[in-house]
Amino acid sequence: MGEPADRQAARERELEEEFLAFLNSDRSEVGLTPAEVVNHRARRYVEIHARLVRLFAWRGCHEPEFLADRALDRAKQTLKKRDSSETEPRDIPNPVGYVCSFVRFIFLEWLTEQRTPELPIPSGKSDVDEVALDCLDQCLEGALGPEERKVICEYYQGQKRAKIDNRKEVAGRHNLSVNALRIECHRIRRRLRTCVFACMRLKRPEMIPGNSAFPSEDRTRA
Amino acid sequence: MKTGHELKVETHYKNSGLLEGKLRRYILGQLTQQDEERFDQRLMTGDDEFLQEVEEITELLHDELVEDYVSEKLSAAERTAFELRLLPSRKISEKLMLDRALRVVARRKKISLAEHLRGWLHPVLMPAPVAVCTSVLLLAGGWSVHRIGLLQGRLDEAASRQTSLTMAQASLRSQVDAERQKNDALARELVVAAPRPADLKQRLTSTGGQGIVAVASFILKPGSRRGGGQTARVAIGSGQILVELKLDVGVDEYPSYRAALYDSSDSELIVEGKIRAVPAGNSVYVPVQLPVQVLRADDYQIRLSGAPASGGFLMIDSYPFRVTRQ
Repeated sequence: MGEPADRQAARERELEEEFLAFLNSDRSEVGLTPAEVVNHRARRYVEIHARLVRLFAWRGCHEPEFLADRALDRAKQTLKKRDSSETEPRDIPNPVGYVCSFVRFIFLEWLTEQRTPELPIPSGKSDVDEVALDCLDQCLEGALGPEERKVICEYYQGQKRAKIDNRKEVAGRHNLSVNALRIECHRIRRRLRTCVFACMRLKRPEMIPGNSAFPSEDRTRA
Repeated sequence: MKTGHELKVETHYKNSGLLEGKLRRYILGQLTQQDEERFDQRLMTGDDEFLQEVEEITELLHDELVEDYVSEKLSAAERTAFELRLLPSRKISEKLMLDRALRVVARRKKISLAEHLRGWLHPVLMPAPVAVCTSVLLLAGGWSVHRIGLLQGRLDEAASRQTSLTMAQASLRSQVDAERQKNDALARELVVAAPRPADLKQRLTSTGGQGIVAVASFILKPGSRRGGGQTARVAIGSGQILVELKLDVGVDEYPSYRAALYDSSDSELIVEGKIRAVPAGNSVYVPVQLPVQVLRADDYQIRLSGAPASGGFLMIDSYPFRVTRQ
Protein backbone atom coordinates (compact mmCIF):
# COMPACT_ATOMS: atom_id res chain seq x y z
CA MET A 1 0.00 0.00 0.00
CA GLY A 2 1.32 3.48 -0.83
CA GLU A 3 1.44 6.30 1.63
CA PRO A 4 -1.44 8.77 1.79
CA ALA A 5 -1.66 11.22 -1.11
CA ASP A 6 -1.28 14.38 0.97
CA ARG A 7 1.88 13.01 2.60
CA GLN A 8 3.29 12.12 -0.80
CA ALA A 9 2.42 15.60 -2.11
CA ALA A 10 4.11 17.21 0.87
CA ARG A 11 7.23 15.18 0.19
CA GLU A 12 7.19 16.21 -3.45
CA ARG A 13 6.95 19.86 -2.44
CA GLU A 14 9.77 19.38 0.00
CA LEU A 15 11.88 17.79 -2.72
CA GLU A 16 11.17 20.73 -5.05
CA GLU A 17 12.20 23.21 -2.40
CA GLU A 18 15.34 21.25 -1.61
CA PHE A 19 16.26 21.18 -5.25
CA LEU A 20 15.77 24.95 -5.62
CA ALA A 21 17.89 25.46 -2.50
CA PHE A 22 20.56 23.15 -3.94
CA LEU A 23 20.68 25.06 -7.24
CA ASN A 24 21.29 28.27 -5.30
CA SER A 25 23.70 26.70 -2.81
CA ASP A 26 26.80 28.34 -4.33
CA ARG A 27 25.35 31.79 -3.60
CA SER A 28 25.08 33.43 -0.23
CA GLU A 29 21.61 33.87 1.26
CA VAL A 30 22.87 35.51 4.42
CA GLY A 31 20.81 38.51 5.49
CA LEU A 32 17.92 37.78 3.16
CA THR A 33 14.34 37.61 4.37
CA PRO A 34 12.52 34.31 3.74
CA ALA A 35 10.58 35.95 0.91
CA GLU A 36 13.80 37.20 -0.66
CA VAL A 37 15.33 33.75 -0.36
CA VAL A 38 12.39 32.26 -2.24
CA ASN A 39 12.68 34.94 -4.88
CA HIS A 40 16.44 34.44 -5.28
CA ARG A 41 16.07 30.70 -5.62
CA ALA A 42 13.31 31.03 -8.18
CA ARG A 43 15.38 33.47 -10.22
CA ARG A 44 18.36 31.11 -10.05
CA TYR A 45 16.20 28.25 -11.34
CA VAL A 46 14.96 30.36 -14.24
CA GLU A 47 18.50 31.54 -14.99
CA ILE A 48 19.94 28.00 -15.07
CA HIS A 49 17.01 26.83 -17.19
CA ALA A 50 17.57 29.66 -19.68
CA ARG A 51 21.28 28.84 -19.93
CA LEU A 52 20.50 25.18 -20.51
CA VAL A 53 18.13 26.18 -23.31
CA ARG A 54 20.94 28.08 -25.03
CA LEU A 55 23.34 25.18 -24.51
CA PHE A 56 21.04 22.70 -26.21
CA ALA A 57 20.27 25.16 -29.01
CA TRP A 58 23.99 25.59 -29.67
CA ARG A 59 24.30 21.84 -29.97
CA GLY A 60 21.78 22.08 -32.82
CA CYS A 61 18.71 20.81 -30.99
CA HIS A 62 15.40 22.22 -32.26
CA GLU A 63 13.52 21.73 -28.99
CA PRO A 64 15.98 23.07 -26.43
CA GLU A 65 13.33 23.96 -23.82
CA PHE A 66 12.23 20.35 -23.72
CA LEU A 67 15.77 19.16 -23.10
CA ALA A 68 16.42 21.85 -20.47
CA ASP A 69 13.34 20.66 -18.57
CA ARG A 70 14.50 17.09 -18.89
CA ALA A 71 18.04 17.89 -17.67
CA LEU A 72 16.77 19.68 -14.55
CA ASP A 73 14.28 16.95 -13.83
CA ARG A 74 16.97 14.28 -14.20
CA ALA A 75 19.29 16.23 -11.91
CA LYS A 76 16.53 16.50 -9.31
CA GLN A 77 15.65 12.82 -9.43
CA THR A 78 19.29 11.73 -9.27
CA LEU A 79 19.89 14.02 -6.33
CA LYS A 80 16.91 12.48 -4.58
CA LYS A 81 18.20 8.93 -5.16
CA ARG A 82 21.65 9.95 -4.04
CA ASP A 83 20.30 11.46 -0.85
CA SER A 84 18.25 8.39 0.00
CA SER A 85 21.04 5.90 -0.75
CA GLU A 86 24.05 7.64 0.80
CA THR A 87 24.69 7.59 4.48
CA GLU A 88 27.01 10.61 4.39
CA PRO A 89 25.53 14.05 3.84
CA ARG A 90 25.49 15.42 0.32
CA ASP A 91 28.51 17.53 -0.57
CA ILE A 92 28.28 19.00 -4.07
CA PRO A 93 30.00 22.37 -4.07
CA ASN A 94 29.14 23.22 -7.68
CA PRO A 95 25.44 22.87 -8.52
CA VAL A 96 25.90 24.18 -12.07
CA GLY A 97 28.63 21.59 -12.67
CA TYR A 98 26.32 18.92 -11.31
CA VAL A 99 23.52 19.90 -13.72
CA CYS A 100 26.04 20.10 -16.57
CA SER A 101 27.02 16.48 -16.05
CA PHE A 102 23.56 15.52 -17.36
CA VAL A 103 23.62 17.70 -20.48
CA ARG A 104 25.68 15.41 -22.69
CA PHE A 105 23.64 12.30 -21.91
CA ILE A 106 20.32 14.06 -22.29
CA PHE A 107 21.40 15.34 -25.69
CA LEU A 108 22.63 11.91 -26.85
CA GLU A 109 19.41 10.36 -25.58
CA TRP A 110 17.42 12.91 -27.59
CA LEU A 111 19.45 12.17 -30.72
CA THR A 112 18.58 8.50 -30.51
CA GLU A 113 14.89 9.45 -30.32
CA GLN A 114 15.05 11.43 -33.55
CA ARG A 115 14.03 9.71 -36.72
CA THR A 116 15.52 10.88 -40.00
CA PRO A 117 13.17 9.69 -42.72
CA GLU A 118 14.58 7.88 -45.74
CA LEU A 119 13.42 9.91 -48.70
CA PRO A 120 12.93 8.61 -52.25
CA ILE A 121 14.90 10.44 -54.93
CA PRO A 122 12.31 12.35 -56.96
CA SER A 123 12.18 11.93 -60.74
CA GLY A 124 11.83 15.62 -61.51
CA LYS A 125 11.54 19.07 -60.11
CA SER A 126 8.62 19.51 -57.73
CA ASP A 127 6.57 22.69 -57.51
CA VAL A 128 7.65 23.02 -53.88
CA ASP A 129 11.13 23.93 -55.07
CA GLU A 130 9.66 26.70 -57.12
CA VAL A 131 7.86 28.10 -54.08
CA ALA A 132 11.16 28.25 -52.19
CA LEU A 133 12.93 29.77 -55.18
CA ASP A 134 10.16 32.31 -55.78
CA CYS A 135 10.30 33.34 -52.16
CA LEU A 136 14.07 33.62 -52.30
CA ASP A 137 13.83 35.77 -55.43
CA GLN A 138 11.28 38.01 -53.72
CA CYS A 139 13.41 38.32 -50.60
CA LEU A 140 16.57 39.04 -52.54
CA GLU A 141 14.73 41.92 -54.19
CA GLY A 142 12.71 43.12 -51.21
CA ALA A 143 14.74 42.43 -48.10
CA LEU A 144 18.24 43.29 -49.31
CA GLY A 145 19.88 46.34 -50.76
CA PRO A 146 21.51 46.05 -54.22
CA GLU A 147 24.99 45.76 -52.77
CA GLU A 148 24.02 42.99 -50.35
CA ARG A 149 22.16 41.16 -53.11
CA LYS A 150 25.23 41.30 -55.29
CA VAL A 151 27.52 40.11 -52.49
CA ILE A 152 25.42 37.08 -51.54
CA CYS A 153 24.94 35.96 -55.17
CA GLU A 154 28.64 36.35 -55.89
CA TYR A 155 29.48 34.49 -52.69
CA TYR A 156 27.75 31.36 -53.96
CA GLN A 157 29.43 31.30 -57.40
CA GLY A 158 31.90 28.55 -58.29
CA GLN A 159 32.76 25.24 -56.77
CA LYS A 160 35.67 23.87 -54.75
CA ARG A 161 38.94 25.67 -55.59
CA ALA A 162 37.19 28.13 -57.92
CA LYS A 163 34.82 29.04 -55.09
CA ILE A 164 37.69 29.80 -52.72
CA ASP A 165 39.39 31.98 -55.32
CA ASN A 166 36.08 33.60 -56.15
CA ARG A 167 35.49 34.54 -52.51
CA LYS A 168 38.92 36.12 -52.24
CA GLU A 169 38.09 38.17 -55.34
CA VAL A 170 34.67 39.17 -54.01
CA ALA A 171 36.18 40.21 -50.67
CA GLY A 172 38.83 42.25 -52.47
CA ARG A 173 36.25 43.96 -54.69
CA HIS A 174 34.25 45.03 -51.64
CA ASN A 175 37.28 46.04 -49.55
CA LEU A 176 36.67 43.33 -46.97
CA SER A 177 38.84 40.60 -45.53
CA VAL A 178 37.71 37.06 -46.37
CA ASN A 179 36.63 36.62 -42.74
CA ALA A 180 34.64 39.86 -42.75
CA LEU A 181 32.95 38.75 -45.98
CA ARG A 182 32.09 35.44 -44.36
CA ILE A 183 30.47 37.18 -41.37
CA GLU A 184 28.63 39.62 -43.58
CA CYS A 185 27.22 36.81 -45.72
CA HIS A 186 26.13 35.01 -42.56
CA ARG A 187 24.16 38.09 -41.52
CA ILE A 188 22.62 38.44 -44.95
CA ARG A 189 21.68 34.74 -44.92
CA ARG A 190 20.06 35.17 -41.50
CA ARG A 191 17.86 37.97 -42.81
CA LEU A 192 17.07 36.02 -45.94
CA ARG A 193 16.11 32.95 -43.92
CA THR A 194 13.62 34.93 -41.84
CA CYS A 195 12.15 36.49 -44.97
CA VAL A 196 12.07 33.29 -47.06
CA PHE A 197 10.35 31.22 -44.39
CA ALA A 198 7.86 33.98 -43.63
CA CYS A 199 7.04 34.08 -47.36
CA MET A 200 6.79 30.28 -47.58
CA ARG A 201 4.52 30.23 -44.54
CA LEU A 202 2.12 32.45 -46.46
CA LYS A 203 2.34 30.55 -49.74
CA ARG A 204 2.61 27.00 -48.47
CA PRO A 205 2.27 26.76 -44.70
CA GLU A 206 2.30 22.97 -44.78
CA MET A 207 5.85 22.77 -46.09
CA ILE A 208 7.57 24.74 -43.31
CA PRO A 209 9.69 22.60 -41.04
CA GLY A 210 8.22 22.69 -37.54
CA ASN A 211 8.89 25.45 -35.11
CA SER A 212 11.32 24.36 -32.49
CA ALA A 213 10.52 26.05 -29.28
CA PHE A 214 7.41 24.43 -27.91
CA PRO A 215 7.80 23.05 -24.42
CA SER A 216 8.33 19.44 -23.76
CA GLU A 217 5.13 18.11 -22.34
CA ASP A 218 3.17 19.27 -25.33
CA ARG A 219 5.33 17.21 -27.63
CA THR A 220 3.90 13.96 -28.83
CA ARG A 221 5.82 11.31 -30.69
CA ALA A 222 4.38 8.39 -32.50
CA MET B 1 31.86 48.83 -49.69
CA LYS B 2 30.36 52.28 -49.71
CA THR B 3 27.63 52.14 -52.34
CA GLY B 4 23.98 51.43 -51.53
CA HIS B 5 23.64 49.75 -48.18
CA GLU B 6 26.79 50.16 -46.24
CA LEU B 7 27.81 46.80 -44.84
CA LYS B 8 28.87 46.96 -41.24
CA VAL B 9 31.47 44.48 -40.16
CA GLU B 10 32.31 44.25 -36.50
CA THR B 11 35.75 43.17 -35.46
CA HIS B 12 35.12 41.35 -32.20
CA TYR B 13 35.50 38.00 -34.00
CA LYS B 14 39.17 38.69 -34.67
CA ASN B 15 40.47 36.98 -31.55
CA SER B 16 37.91 34.23 -31.57
CA GLY B 17 39.78 31.70 -33.66
CA LEU B 18 40.45 29.35 -30.75
CA LEU B 19 36.92 29.59 -29.45
CA GLU B 20 35.56 29.00 -32.93
CA GLY B 21 37.68 25.86 -33.38
CA LYS B 22 36.53 24.53 -30.05
CA LEU B 23 32.89 25.32 -30.75
CA ARG B 24 33.07 23.54 -34.09
CA ARG B 25 34.39 20.39 -32.40
CA TYR B 26 31.77 20.83 -29.65
CA ILE B 27 28.93 21.04 -32.15
CA LEU B 28 30.21 17.98 -34.03
CA GLY B 29 30.72 16.05 -30.78
CA GLN B 30 34.45 15.72 -31.28
CA LEU B 31 35.56 16.77 -27.79
CA THR B 32 36.35 14.17 -25.17
CA GLN B 33 33.63 13.63 -22.61
CA GLN B 34 35.65 15.44 -19.96
CA ASP B 35 36.40 18.41 -22.25
CA GLU B 36 32.78 18.55 -23.32
CA GLU B 37 31.55 18.73 -19.72
CA ARG B 38 34.13 21.38 -18.87
CA PHE B 39 33.11 23.38 -21.92
CA ASP B 40 29.43 23.03 -20.98
CA GLN B 41 30.27 24.48 -17.58
CA ARG B 42 32.14 27.35 -19.15
CA LEU B 43 29.14 28.09 -21.35
CA MET B 44 26.81 27.87 -18.36
CA THR B 45 28.82 30.30 -16.24
CA GLY B 46 30.17 32.76 -18.83
CA ASP B 47 29.22 36.43 -18.72
CA ASP B 48 26.70 37.96 -21.14
CA GLU B 49 29.33 39.29 -23.51
CA PHE B 50 30.94 35.87 -23.82
CA LEU B 51 27.56 34.19 -24.36
CA GLN B 52 26.64 36.72 -27.04
CA GLU B 53 29.88 35.95 -28.84
CA VAL B 54 29.31 32.21 -28.54
CA GLU B 55 25.77 32.70 -29.86
CA GLU B 56 26.96 34.52 -32.96
CA ILE B 57 29.85 32.18 -33.68
CA THR B 58 27.62 29.14 -33.22
CA GLU B 59 25.05 30.49 -35.67
CA LEU B 60 27.82 31.15 -38.15
CA LEU B 61 29.25 27.66 -37.66
CA HIS B 62 25.85 26.05 -38.17
CA ASP B 63 25.56 27.92 -41.49
CA GLU B 64 29.03 26.94 -42.58
CA LEU B 65 28.69 23.31 -41.58
CA VAL B 66 25.53 23.20 -43.70
CA GLU B 67 27.40 24.78 -46.59
CA ASP B 68 30.34 22.40 -46.23
CA TYR B 69 27.96 19.46 -46.01
CA VAL B 70 26.15 20.44 -49.21
CA SER B 71 29.38 21.07 -51.10
CA GLU B 72 30.90 17.84 -49.73
CA LYS B 73 33.78 19.61 -48.01
CA LEU B 74 33.43 17.78 -44.69
CA SER B 75 35.74 14.89 -43.87
CA ALA B 76 34.13 11.46 -43.54
CA ALA B 77 34.12 11.72 -39.73
CA GLU B 78 32.67 15.25 -39.80
CA ARG B 79 30.04 14.21 -42.32
CA THR B 80 28.92 11.31 -40.15
CA ALA B 81 28.85 13.56 -37.09
CA PHE B 82 26.85 16.17 -39.01
CA GLU B 83 24.30 13.59 -40.14
CA LEU B 84 23.94 12.13 -36.65
CA ARG B 85 23.93 15.31 -34.57
CA LEU B 86 22.69 18.14 -36.78
CA LEU B 87 20.62 16.72 -39.60
CA PRO B 88 17.74 15.68 -37.30
CA SER B 89 17.24 19.35 -36.35
CA ARG B 90 14.47 21.27 -38.12
CA LYS B 91 16.48 24.44 -37.77
CA ILE B 92 19.30 22.82 -39.74
CA SER B 93 16.77 21.57 -42.34
CA GLU B 94 15.73 25.18 -42.92
CA LYS B 95 19.33 26.20 -43.36
CA LEU B 96 19.93 23.35 -45.81
CA MET B 97 16.93 24.39 -47.86
CA LEU B 98 18.08 28.02 -48.02
CA ASP B 99 21.66 27.05 -48.89
CA ARG B 100 20.47 24.93 -51.80
CA ALA B 101 18.09 27.60 -53.04
CA LEU B 102 20.88 30.20 -52.92
CA ARG B 103 23.09 27.96 -55.04
CA VAL B 104 20.36 27.59 -57.66
CA VAL B 105 19.74 31.34 -57.76
CA ALA B 106 23.46 32.11 -57.97
CA ARG B 107 23.81 29.68 -60.92
CA ARG B 108 20.79 31.15 -62.68
CA LYS B 109 22.29 34.59 -62.40
CA LYS B 110 25.55 33.28 -63.85
CA ILE B 111 23.68 31.64 -66.77
CA SER B 112 21.79 34.83 -67.54
CA LEU B 113 25.11 36.67 -67.66
CA ALA B 114 26.49 34.08 -70.14
CA GLU B 115 23.37 34.49 -72.31
CA HIS B 116 23.79 38.23 -72.24
CA LEU B 117 27.36 37.89 -73.50
CA ARG B 118 26.31 35.47 -76.26
CA GLY B 119 23.65 37.94 -77.42
CA TRP B 120 26.26 40.66 -77.60
CA LEU B 121 28.55 38.44 -79.77
CA HIS B 122 25.74 37.37 -82.13
CA PRO B 123 26.12 40.17 -84.76
CA VAL B 124 29.79 39.30 -85.09
CA LEU B 125 28.91 35.73 -86.01
CA MET B 126 26.48 36.77 -88.82
CA PRO B 127 28.47 36.39 -92.06
CA ALA B 128 28.12 39.50 -94.20
CA PRO B 129 28.30 38.46 -97.93
CA VAL B 130 31.07 40.96 -98.80
CA ALA B 131 33.28 39.97 -95.91
CA VAL B 132 33.08 36.15 -95.93
CA CYS B 133 36.67 35.59 -96.98
CA THR B 134 38.17 38.27 -94.79
CA SER B 135 36.23 37.15 -91.66
CA VAL B 136 37.29 33.47 -91.66
CA LEU B 137 39.65 33.97 -88.75
CA LEU B 138 37.12 36.08 -86.90
CA LEU B 139 34.46 33.44 -87.54
CA ALA B 140 36.69 30.68 -86.20
CA GLY B 141 37.40 32.70 -83.09
CA GLY B 142 33.77 33.59 -82.65
CA TRP B 143 32.73 29.98 -83.16
CA SER B 144 35.11 28.92 -80.40
CA VAL B 145 33.67 31.51 -78.04
CA HIS B 146 30.16 30.40 -78.99
CA ARG B 147 30.96 26.69 -78.44
CA ILE B 148 32.60 27.43 -75.10
CA GLY B 149 29.58 29.46 -74.10
CA LEU B 150 27.23 26.63 -75.10
CA LEU B 151 29.27 24.02 -73.26
CA GLN B 152 29.45 26.24 -70.21
CA GLY B 153 25.71 26.74 -70.44
CA ARG B 154 25.14 22.95 -70.58
CA LEU B 155 27.47 22.39 -67.68
CA ASP B 156 25.67 25.03 -65.65
CA GLU B 157 22.32 23.58 -66.66
CA ALA B 158 23.39 20.09 -65.57
CA ALA B 159 24.67 21.47 -62.29
CA SER B 160 21.44 23.40 -61.83
CA ARG B 161 19.40 20.24 -62.55
CA GLN B 162 21.43 18.33 -59.99
CA THR B 163 20.81 21.01 -57.41
CA SER B 164 17.11 21.00 -58.23
CA LEU B 165 17.02 17.28 -57.50
CA THR B 166 18.67 17.79 -54.14
CA MET B 167 16.28 20.70 -53.49
CA ALA B 168 13.34 18.43 -54.25
CA GLN B 169 14.74 15.90 -51.83
CA ALA B 170 15.07 18.59 -49.19
CA SER B 171 11.48 19.65 -49.89
CA LEU B 172 10.23 16.13 -49.40
CA ARG B 173 12.10 16.03 -46.14
CA SER B 174 10.39 19.29 -45.20
CA GLN B 175 7.01 17.82 -46.09
CA VAL B 176 7.70 14.90 -43.79
CA ASP B 177 8.75 17.39 -41.09
CA ALA B 178 5.64 19.45 -41.76
CA GLU B 179 3.48 16.35 -41.34
CA ARG B 180 5.23 15.65 -38.08
CA GLN B 181 4.70 19.24 -37.01
CA LYS B 182 1.03 19.07 -37.94
CA ASN B 183 0.72 16.01 -35.73
CA ASP B 184 2.53 17.85 -32.97
CA ALA B 185 0.22 20.88 -33.36
CA LEU B 186 -2.86 18.66 -33.17
CA ALA B 187 -1.45 17.03 -30.09
CA ARG B 188 -0.80 20.46 -28.57
CA GLU B 189 -4.36 21.54 -29.26
CA LEU B 190 -5.55 18.43 -27.53
CA VAL B 191 -3.25 19.18 -24.64
CA VAL B 192 -4.65 22.71 -24.31
CA ALA B 193 -8.15 21.27 -24.03
CA ALA B 194 -7.38 18.27 -21.86
CA PRO B 195 -5.06 17.38 -19.00
CA ARG B 196 -1.56 16.60 -20.16
CA PRO B 197 -0.63 12.94 -20.42
CA ALA B 198 2.63 13.59 -18.60
CA ASP B 199 0.75 15.23 -15.76
CA LEU B 200 -1.82 12.50 -15.62
CA LYS B 201 0.99 9.99 -15.51
CA GLN B 202 2.63 11.93 -12.73
CA ARG B 203 -0.62 12.07 -10.79
CA LEU B 204 -1.23 8.39 -11.23
CA THR B 205 2.26 7.29 -10.35
CA SER B 206 2.94 9.66 -7.52
CA THR B 207 -0.34 10.25 -5.81
CA GLY B 208 -2.79 7.65 -6.82
CA GLY B 209 -5.03 10.08 -8.69
CA GLN B 210 -5.33 13.08 -6.36
CA GLY B 211 -1.94 14.67 -6.61
CA ILE B 212 -0.02 17.57 -7.97
CA VAL B 213 -0.02 19.29 -11.34
CA ALA B 214 3.60 20.42 -11.71
CA VAL B 215 3.06 22.79 -14.63
CA ALA B 216 -0.18 24.64 -15.31
CA SER B 217 -0.79 26.16 -18.71
CA PHE B 218 -2.90 29.24 -19.58
CA ILE B 219 -3.58 31.12 -22.78
CA LEU B 220 -3.54 34.93 -22.49
CA LYS B 221 -4.93 37.47 -24.95
CA PRO B 222 -3.25 40.85 -25.19
CA GLY B 223 -4.74 43.70 -23.15
CA SER B 224 -5.62 45.63 -26.29
CA ARG B 225 -7.70 42.74 -27.65
CA ARG B 226 -9.55 41.75 -24.51
CA GLY B 227 -13.18 42.75 -24.52
CA GLY B 228 -15.16 43.97 -21.50
CA GLY B 229 -12.14 44.81 -19.41
CA GLN B 230 -12.14 41.44 -17.67
CA THR B 231 -8.73 40.24 -16.51
CA ALA B 232 -7.65 36.67 -17.20
CA ARG B 233 -7.41 34.52 -14.08
CA VAL B 234 -4.52 32.20 -13.42
CA ALA B 235 -5.28 29.75 -10.66
CA ILE B 236 -2.31 28.19 -8.89
CA GLY B 237 -2.77 25.04 -6.90
CA SER B 238 -0.54 23.71 -4.18
CA GLY B 239 2.35 21.66 -5.45
CA GLN B 240 2.64 23.49 -8.76
CA ILE B 241 6.15 24.43 -9.75
CA LEU B 242 5.74 26.37 -12.95
CA VAL B 243 3.01 28.32 -14.66
CA GLU B 244 3.19 28.38 -18.41
CA LEU B 245 1.53 31.34 -20.07
CA LYS B 246 0.94 31.22 -23.78
CA LEU B 247 0.77 34.79 -25.03
CA ASP B 248 -1.38 34.98 -28.13
CA VAL B 249 0.45 37.20 -30.63
CA GLY B 250 -1.68 36.43 -33.67
CA VAL B 251 1.15 36.61 -36.19
CA ASP B 252 4.80 35.66 -35.70
CA GLU B 253 6.56 38.81 -36.87
CA TYR B 254 9.89 38.65 -35.07
CA PRO B 255 12.72 36.15 -34.85
CA SER B 256 12.45 36.24 -31.06
CA TYR B 257 10.58 37.92 -28.24
CA ARG B 258 11.26 39.33 -24.79
CA ALA B 259 8.76 39.07 -21.95
CA ALA B 260 8.94 41.09 -18.73
CA LEU B 261 6.74 40.29 -15.73
CA TYR B 262 5.41 43.25 -13.68
CA ASP B 263 3.40 43.14 -10.46
CA SER B 264 0.58 45.49 -9.44
CA SER B 265 3.05 48.10 -8.13
CA ASP B 266 4.71 48.08 -11.57
CA SER B 267 7.92 46.50 -10.31
CA GLU B 268 9.73 44.36 -12.82
CA LEU B 269 10.13 40.83 -11.43
CA ILE B 270 11.51 38.68 -14.21
CA VAL B 271 12.70 39.29 -17.75
CA GLU B 272 13.11 36.49 -20.23
CA GLY B 273 14.54 37.04 -23.70
CA LYS B 274 15.12 35.13 -26.93
CA ILE B 275 11.80 33.34 -26.76
CA ARG B 276 10.58 31.88 -30.00
CA ALA B 277 6.92 31.98 -30.99
CA VAL B 278 5.14 28.68 -31.46
CA PRO B 279 2.33 28.10 -33.96
CA ALA B 280 -0.59 26.08 -32.61
CA GLY B 281 -3.64 25.61 -34.78
CA ASN B 282 -4.69 28.98 -36.17
CA SER B 283 -2.83 30.98 -33.56
CA VAL B 284 0.73 31.81 -32.68
CA TYR B 285 1.84 31.80 -29.07
CA VAL B 286 4.86 33.04 -27.23
CA PRO B 287 5.37 30.59 -24.36
CA VAL B 288 6.57 32.05 -21.04
CA GLN B 289 7.28 29.88 -18.02
CA LEU B 290 7.17 31.41 -14.56
CA PRO B 291 8.13 29.75 -11.29
CA VAL B 292 5.15 29.88 -8.92
CA GLN B 293 7.38 31.16 -6.14
CA VAL B 294 7.39 34.61 -7.70
CA LEU B 295 3.61 34.76 -8.04
CA ARG B 296 1.33 35.77 -5.17
CA ALA B 297 -2.40 36.43 -5.22
CA ASP B 298 -2.13 39.73 -7.07
CA ASP B 299 -2.58 41.43 -10.44
CA TYR B 300 0.28 41.08 -12.90
CA GLN B 301 1.04 41.89 -16.46
CA ILE B 302 3.54 40.65 -18.97
CA ARG B 303 4.92 43.24 -21.34
CA LEU B 304 5.89 41.55 -24.56
CA SER B 305 8.39 43.05 -26.99
CA GLY B 306 9.56 41.76 -30.35
CA ALA B 307 13.26 41.58 -31.14
CA PRO B 308 13.70 42.45 -34.83
CA ALA B 309 16.72 41.07 -36.69
CA SER B 310 18.10 44.61 -36.95
CA GLY B 311 18.44 44.79 -33.14
CA GLY B 312 16.61 46.51 -30.27
CA PHE B 313 13.13 45.75 -29.00
CA LEU B 314 9.69 46.88 -30.13
CA MET B 315 6.83 46.82 -27.63
CA ILE B 316 4.00 44.59 -28.88
CA ASP B 317 1.40 44.53 -26.13
CA SER B 318 0.80 43.85 -22.46
CA TYR B 319 -0.96 40.76 -21.12
CA PRO B 320 -2.69 41.39 -17.81
CA PHE B 321 -3.69 38.52 -15.56
CA ARG B 322 -4.76 37.94 -11.99
CA VAL B 323 -3.24 35.19 -9.87
CA THR B 324 -5.45 33.33 -7.46
CA ARG B 325 -4.14 30.74 -5.04
CA GLN B 326 -6.20 27.62 -4.44
